[in-house]
Amino acid sequence: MTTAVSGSVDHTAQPAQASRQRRSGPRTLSPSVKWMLRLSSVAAILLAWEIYGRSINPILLSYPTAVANAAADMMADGTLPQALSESLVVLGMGSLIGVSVGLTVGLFAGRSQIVAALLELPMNALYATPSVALIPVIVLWFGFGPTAKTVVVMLFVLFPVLINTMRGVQEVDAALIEVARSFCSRERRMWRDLIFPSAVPYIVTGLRLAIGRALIGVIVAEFFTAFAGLGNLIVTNANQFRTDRMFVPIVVIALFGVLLTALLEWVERRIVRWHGDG
Amino acid sequence: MSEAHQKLVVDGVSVRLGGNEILREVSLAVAEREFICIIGTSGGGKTTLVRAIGGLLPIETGTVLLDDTPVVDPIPRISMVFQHFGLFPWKTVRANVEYGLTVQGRTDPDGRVDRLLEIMHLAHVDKKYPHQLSGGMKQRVGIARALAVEPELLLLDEPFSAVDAITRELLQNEVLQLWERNERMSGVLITHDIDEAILMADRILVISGPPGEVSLEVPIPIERPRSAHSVRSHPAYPELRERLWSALQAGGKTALEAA
Repeated sequence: MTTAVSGSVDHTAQPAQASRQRRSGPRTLSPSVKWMLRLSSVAAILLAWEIYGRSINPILLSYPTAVANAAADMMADGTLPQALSESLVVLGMGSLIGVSVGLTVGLFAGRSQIVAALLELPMNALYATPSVALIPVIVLWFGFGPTAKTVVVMLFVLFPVLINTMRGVQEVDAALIEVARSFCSRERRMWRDLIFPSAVPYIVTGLRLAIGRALIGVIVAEFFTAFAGLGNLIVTNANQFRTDRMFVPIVVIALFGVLLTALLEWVERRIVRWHGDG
Repeated sequence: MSEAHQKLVVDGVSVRLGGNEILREVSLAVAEREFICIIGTSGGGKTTLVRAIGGLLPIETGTVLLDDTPVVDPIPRISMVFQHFGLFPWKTVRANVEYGLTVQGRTDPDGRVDRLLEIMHLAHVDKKYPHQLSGGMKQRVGIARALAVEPELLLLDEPFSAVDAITRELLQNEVLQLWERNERMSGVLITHDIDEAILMADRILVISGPPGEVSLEVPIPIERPRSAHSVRSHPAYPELRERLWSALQAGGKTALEAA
């Protein structure tokens, strides 16, 4: 922990290129220790919440066991499965369209300076604008139904994927392009050998940002629009001061985010093998 | 030399990049099976010349001919070894060596890739990725990849300048031996190392610039097979080195004046 130790450790660290793949410092913890630490932090939070939550008015802050009971009730009466499926449809459709469009446009924009120049200003303007600001407009255009919500999720997902994909393609090593050219590679073949593989880490970063934004998108859209989904469940229960029931969809969303991120990391490890195993 | 067939002819080639004249009317010829070295100080245009020969750069005037056919784009009959290896980090050693054959839609019916992996001492690491290799190993992969397409002309752009001194000598010897066994390839090696050039070359051209021009051309009379030792103890060596050194120094001066 002294500066002398961390200084000497820096010299043995891997090149910066690989650093995005490295989750821990040079002295790697074993997986079982890591899992123990992860679970104990969660347990500590739950315990503190339980103790403090029981000591104050349940309208202000419920506590984990009450939330778990509420979850069981909501499973039994069908409100949770219904809201969950409504949200998932919106989330799935919106993400699918957003990721597909973002990937496709990003790949082309990264390779073609014309497309990139055409997109630059409108894209930056839309990206910089808080996407929430667009929701009333989207509702005006698409109504209060699932279409509007899908469009919101799509918009939330689109930009991180598009911008990161574009950046990834633009950052392709020019020296490798020259190698490919010298071996008479055609442009289409270069996508497979060179452009796509080197963009993958950037695309994964885009997807990681997109997961968070997609979840925000679906919940916020459900606040604003029709009476459906997990977002609606949060609002209605909060309005009725049923704090324990309000926390159920929040926890579900949090679990969902953790699950999706873990899934993405697993996929990433499978694809990006070339500097993970050194 | 005059009766041998001229494999490569570079005739009055000028190259201009971003408004700067990099090469001015460079002419040279390489015979079949001949190995020439081009030496010059940095910024003198030698890397540009090798890229122009490889069809990677547009030529302003003049022509590059391989067997009397103009080279305007990269062609499969020419392959190149790069200074910074240029390996694909996401491909294994074997996939990197196979790369040229794959993109050119060719197969490997005679087990050429296996043989090259063997010759270049890479057989035991064929499933590894480039980041797991030392610099010398990486360049062995680069050389094997260039040889796998069985080029008629091999271009080497400062292939040993990114590795340490000991590895450099080992690699030089390997390429030298490879060359002395070779039956049809011609070669052009770019370097700034006089000793490397004398060791490897049948003929040395000194390029000085900018703009790059051929300022000296010397045949190397030392018989093959050669080794670092046999070359350095050869009676012609001191005088050759002296001539090349003064030519390089003169080139260095013009580079300084232009800068």
